[in-house]
This record gives sequence, C-alpha cells and structure tokens, in this order.
Amino acid sequence: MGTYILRRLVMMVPVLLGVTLLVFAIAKLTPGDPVMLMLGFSATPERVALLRSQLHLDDPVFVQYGRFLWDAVHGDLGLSFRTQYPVIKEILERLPNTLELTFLATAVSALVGITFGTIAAQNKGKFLDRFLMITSLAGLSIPTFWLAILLVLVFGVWLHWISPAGGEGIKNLILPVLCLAVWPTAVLARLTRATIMEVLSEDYVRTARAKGLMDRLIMNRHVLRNALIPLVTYLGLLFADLLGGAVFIEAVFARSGIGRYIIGAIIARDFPQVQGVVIFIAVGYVLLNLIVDVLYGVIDPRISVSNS
Amino acid sequence: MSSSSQIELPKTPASIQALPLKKAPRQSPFIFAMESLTRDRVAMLGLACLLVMVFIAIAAPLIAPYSPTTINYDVVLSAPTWAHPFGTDDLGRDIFSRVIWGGRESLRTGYLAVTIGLGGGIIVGLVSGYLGGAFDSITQRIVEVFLAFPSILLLLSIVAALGPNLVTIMIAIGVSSIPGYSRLVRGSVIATKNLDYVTASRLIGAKNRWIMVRHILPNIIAPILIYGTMSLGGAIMLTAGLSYIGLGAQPPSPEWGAMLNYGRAYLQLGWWMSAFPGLAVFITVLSINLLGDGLQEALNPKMRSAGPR
Repeated sequence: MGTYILRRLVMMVPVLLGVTLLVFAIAKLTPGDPVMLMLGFSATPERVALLRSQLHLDDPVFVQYGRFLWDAVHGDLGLSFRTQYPVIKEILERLPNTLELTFLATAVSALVGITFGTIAAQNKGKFLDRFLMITSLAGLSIPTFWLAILLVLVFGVWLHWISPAGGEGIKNLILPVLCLAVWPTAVLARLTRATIMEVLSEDYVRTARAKGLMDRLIMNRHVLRNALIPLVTYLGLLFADLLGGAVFIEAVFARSGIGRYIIGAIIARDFPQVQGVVIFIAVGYVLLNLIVDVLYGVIDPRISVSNS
Repeated sequence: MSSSSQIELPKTPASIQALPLKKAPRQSPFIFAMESLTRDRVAMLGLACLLVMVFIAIAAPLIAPYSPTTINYDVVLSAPTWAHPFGTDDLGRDIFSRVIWGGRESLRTGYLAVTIGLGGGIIVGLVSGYLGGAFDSITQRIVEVFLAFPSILLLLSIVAALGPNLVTIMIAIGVSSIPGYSRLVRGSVIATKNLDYVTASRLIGAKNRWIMVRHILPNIIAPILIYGTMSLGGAIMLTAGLSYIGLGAQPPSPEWGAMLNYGRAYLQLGWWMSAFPGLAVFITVLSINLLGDGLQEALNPKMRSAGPR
C-alpha cells in the first residue's frame, strides 16, 4: 500500500508540471503587457522599467518558468495584478464557501441519487422506473444556472423567502445546494440503476435467490454492497463536475467563492489569479482521486492496489 | 450461329427463375442498431424536437416576426401577449424573435465546438493508435496529463488567454474536449487496425495514410459521430452557461445565455426575459439527450437485457 501511494505521488509530478507549464505558457503567449495592466497606460517609462525588473520579467522565459514553479511548490502563487494581494491567500479565503457548497451538494446528491437509482432498479420496466428515469434525464438536461434563476425568481422575487441579491446563512444556502445537486443526483440515479441491474445478473445473486433468501436480504447484503464500488469511483469525478457547477451557481446566487473568483479574474485578465486557481484546483483534484483510488481497495477486497 | 465464339450456357430452370431475388439482409450491427432506434418512440421524439429546433434556427429570418435587435420604445417590458408571445425586453425588443435568432448562435457554437473537438480527437487518436510505438507513448502521456485535471480548468484558461467572446468559448470548449475524444478514437483504432482487411491492404503495399483514411476511419466513424451527437447537448449548455456568466457572447447578441445574463437585472420587472431563453436551452439539450439515450441503448443491447428481473 505504501509503495502504491508513493508511486502515485510520483506520477503526480508530470501532471502538475504539465498544468503549470500550460498556465504559464497561456499567460506568456497572451498579448498584453502585465506591467501596463498594473500601472495603467499613463505610467512613466521609468516606473514601467522598474516594475519589469522587480517582477523579473526581463529574465529569459525558462528562468521565469523555473522561478514560477519554485514559488508554486512553496505555496506562493504570486500577487494579483488588481489587488496586489497574495493569490494563495485570496483563494484560501474563498475556499470554505465553495467547499461548504460542494460538500453539501455531494451529500444531497449521493443520498437522493442512490435512493432513486435503487428504487428504479427494483421496479425495472414499471411506471416508477420510467418516471424516475425521465425525471433524471430532465435533471441532466436542465441548465443549472437557469434553474437557479427560476428559483431566485420564485423564492426571492415573488415569495420573498430569500434575498435575491444573495446573502449568508443557512437560509441562503438551501437553493444553491439544491441547484448544484441536481446534475450529480441525476447522474448518480442513472449510474446506480445501471450498476444494480448489472449486479443482479451476477451468479452469486442467482445463487442467493436459489437458496431462498428474501429479496430484501439479497438487496442489502449482496447487491448494494457490490454496486457501491463504481459509485465510489464516481465521487472523484463528481468533484470536478461540482466545481464546474459552482462557477455558475456562485454567479447566480452572488455567493463569494472560488468559482466567482476565477470568473472575475478572467474578465479582468488578472493572470496570477487565473493561474493560481487552476493550479490550486488541479492539485486538489489529483490528490482527491488518489484518495478515492486508495478507498477503492479498502471497500473491495478483490482489488489489491499494490498489485495493480 | 451469329457468333461462334460464344458458348451457350444451359438455361436456368424456370422454377429457380421464379424465385424472387431477395437481397441478403444487411447484418451490420450498426444498421441493426439504427433499425431498433427507429422503433424507440422517446428517442424519435427527441430527434423530431431537435430537427424542429435546427429548422427554426436555420429559417430564423423567415420565421421571426420581428428583428432581434430593433429597439421599439412603444412596447417596453411588455408581458407575453399575442403580438409578443414571449414578451419584450427593456428596449422593446421581441423576446420570441430573439430566442429564434439566438438558436443560430447557440446551436452553431455548440456544433462547431464539437466539430473542433472531434476533428482534433480523430487526428490525434487515429495517428497515435495506428502508428503505435514511441509516438503513441509520448502522445498518450500528454493526453493523460490533460485528462488528469478537470477539463473546465483548461477551458477557463483558454478563455482567459483569448478574451471572453463567443468564438473564444467555441474554441475553448472544442480544444478542451480533444484529449477525451482522442482516447475514444484511439481505442477504436487499436481494435480495428489488426483486422484482416487492414492487414491485406498493408500487404499489397498501401501507404499508412491511405489505410488510415480509407480503411480505418470509415469503420470507426459511426460510434464517434454518435458520441459527438451526445456531447452536443453538453456543448450547447456550456456555451449558454459561459455566456450567462459573461465569458461568452456579449450584448446585444441574442445568444440564449447572453439573453439570460441580460435578463437577470430585470428579474423583478420582466420574468419572461429570463424564462424563455433558458427554456430554449432546456428543450434543445433535453431532445439531444433523449436521442442520445436511445442511441446508447440501441448500440449497447447488453444494457437492455441486464438483470434477471
């Protein structure tokens, strides 16, 4: 197990090198002088030259990349063009808000999605199954940001239950979480249904049925446990989906968070902010997937991670 | 005898001649799947809906009752009426006409984004899978790097570099999906490249490029096109979403997401400004997903019979 984790950590190196190279190259290849962005076009040539040398922008590109990488490894993602504030601090300030949103959405979607998927699989072909599957397809197709707008319209503008301009507190967390959970709930419901139906066709389920076990017992003891394995794998991918969703949800509900932070950074072309978020999230995602893969081996004794 | 060189063949007995000449039933699994798809009513409903949306988008100048950009201060923020079925916005522009015109922007952007992704994916996957060896190894390591982090990050990085507009997000959605497509194509290529007819072609001295384009590509194109269709919904949704948060189409474009963005400020005064453009996205994506669901079931019959119940 130890060697496996170590090897996976080593495998992260090329991935993170690739990500840093990518964001660095994008910032470098983009037209527009960062110094001009910071000082404005009325700046004197002396000030421009001074700032250029302070930011080491006169060095060769590969030296700049090396310095960028060295700083990033030490947790320094540079200073924002706009605020002159360390990007890593800005990210960490907004991270709890986004994590709160994504964790709650994960919990809601896992609970509802797996329940619906199980119910659908148990009623395969019947009305309830058809209904749940069509509902989940609608859930996959509805634009999250539009659903969010409609909910703000109904509960904020018409019923005045929440503030349409956004706000803190539990009351203002319900709608964002629900909206963010719609898509993964639908995915999980469909995935659960498909997995359970696959497990139901396994020999050991037939054996269990042949020896006269009750359906409920077969479901709880044999089917659900085995069906859980692919669902855990999905949890790693779910994080990426939720993060993508958070970009839109935070915008609609005017919530402070990583998603809104990166939108603002892109519109203002504040490259240190964009680079910082991309690197930060890539690292988090790769680590999360490592944890999921390790969990995989713990849940399913047939898979021995050290041999793979 | 008119010609001595001709050998007279024995005549076919009349009993055999009378047999109707039937074409052998085409056994291609793909055609079989398509036949089962046409019997899937829900999928056909999705296809019909999608075709209607595409038709409306193409025929927008003929269908739309008003110009999408003409300002008319006489009917500012009118709720839906017979004259303006979807209402009007703060400048008196007809939302119905704007939604119709917006379909052009949204559908075209989604379709071109998928084309960019598929095109790039086919080139990378085909060459990498067919050539194998060191080229394949290096390409796959690079692809793995891209697949190892969420593609939304690559997408947003590209938008950051090129600046927010509709062309940018089309490129960004397309390019950020190339790694995923190339994996899919490479898998199909590897499964195809050692089949007898490919080997035969190589034996008679055909060039690599000829084999790739003439023999392998036609045999893997069907599943790839279907996968492309299925991801069209996601691309359209993403286009609208990015425009909504201000990274895509900019006003006065009637792109659906841009309309939603614009309507957001008027939520209190004109709910119709936000409701209808989003509904258009929803219906388009839903019809694509209904079709895609049917396609998947038709191509993967194992799913249908799974389970003893």
